[in-house]
Amino acid sequence: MDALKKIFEENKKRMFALAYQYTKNAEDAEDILQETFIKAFRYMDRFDPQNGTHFSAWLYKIGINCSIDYLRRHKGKKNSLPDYIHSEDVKADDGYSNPEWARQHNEAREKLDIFLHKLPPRQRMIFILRHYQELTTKEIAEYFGCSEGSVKKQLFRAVSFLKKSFRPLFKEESYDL
Amino acid sequence: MTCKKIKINIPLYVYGELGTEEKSLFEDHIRQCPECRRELEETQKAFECLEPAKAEPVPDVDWDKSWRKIRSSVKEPEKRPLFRPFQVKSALAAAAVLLVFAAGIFIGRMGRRTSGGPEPFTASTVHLKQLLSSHFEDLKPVLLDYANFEPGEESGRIPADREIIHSLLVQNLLLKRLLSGENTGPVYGLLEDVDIILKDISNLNKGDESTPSLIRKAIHQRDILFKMEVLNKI
Repeated sequence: MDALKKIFEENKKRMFALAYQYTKNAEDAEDILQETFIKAFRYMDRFDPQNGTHFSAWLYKIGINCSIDYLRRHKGKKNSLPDYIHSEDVKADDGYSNPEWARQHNEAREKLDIFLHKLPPRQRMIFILRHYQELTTKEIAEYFGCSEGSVKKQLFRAVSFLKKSFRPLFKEESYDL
Repeated sequence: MTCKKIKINIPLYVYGELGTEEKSLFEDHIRQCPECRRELEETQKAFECLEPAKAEPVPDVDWDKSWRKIRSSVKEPEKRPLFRPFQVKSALAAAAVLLVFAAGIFIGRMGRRTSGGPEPFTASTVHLKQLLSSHFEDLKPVLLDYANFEPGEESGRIPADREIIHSLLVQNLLLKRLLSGENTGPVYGLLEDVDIILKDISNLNKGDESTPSLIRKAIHQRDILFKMEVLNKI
């Protein structure tokens, strides 16, 4: 196995998960995955292990930038809806025996999608990194090359908007939170 | 802690990112302030709504297909002939200048030993100027293409011919080697900038929309064309 393939094998799942959580669309996530590795391999000579950065962290940073760039490039041009919109609603045989719960579950997913799609690309990435990738605000600040305070503010704005998007669901008494 | 500060800290509290002291102050405030408590509860509920999505599996990917696409876009370094005609010309010119340099140093040192006499490098400086001037002339059309690039412009000339870019890179490198260690700060700095830009151009792909704009920006920000003009006239 050549060295590049080894790098790909070791990092592909993590990079794809990041892109998928960010776009909620498998096709877009695959595009981002490919762009990330192509860019990393082309600019490999710019990676300097002597400055203390681990290669996977460097690659991850490229993945973050590629995802944000991808979204900016395709914003408004492409109807990149999340995959579940194309699939049928969650059904009882998917493991959800309560149809009412399944309906509410779908509603929550749609709200999540609307919420994510309305966030500015950078804010969206900060939210994904904190909430889904479980990075600390300090780590996120390092990836973005900004202050922790700036990340905290962006996160606060994203969460405020999240609450606003989900508020109608809280009012439904039947939705057991 | 003020309500404003508490509200900013709500997500951090839920994520468990507050330090012991901050957490204690936060909890004291929450116990006393119904508005902040309601905000916290809403945040927790909203996060619970996200839980199913968090547990959702990531879809399957055709990894082989993705890998094939990546591999075909990242070529192995080409096994090229050691020298191309253009490079031979540059290499010969560089060798000639090196020779003159060496002779200059030798004569200069001899001169200094005997009479404290003439400054060394006089002859080589003339050659170097000619070489730099010719290099700048070669660079100019390529850099102008990018300096005038308009985003969204469908341009067949971008990226420029890779052969030309490689040759320019070699020329640039040879000149940089000649100048390293000499008191030629601005010229060397310019060649360093040119080196970065040429490498960016060389790594460019057709259909890449953002990079030509970045290259254009770099050319303008670093005043490359202007510096070339000025150094050419000195």
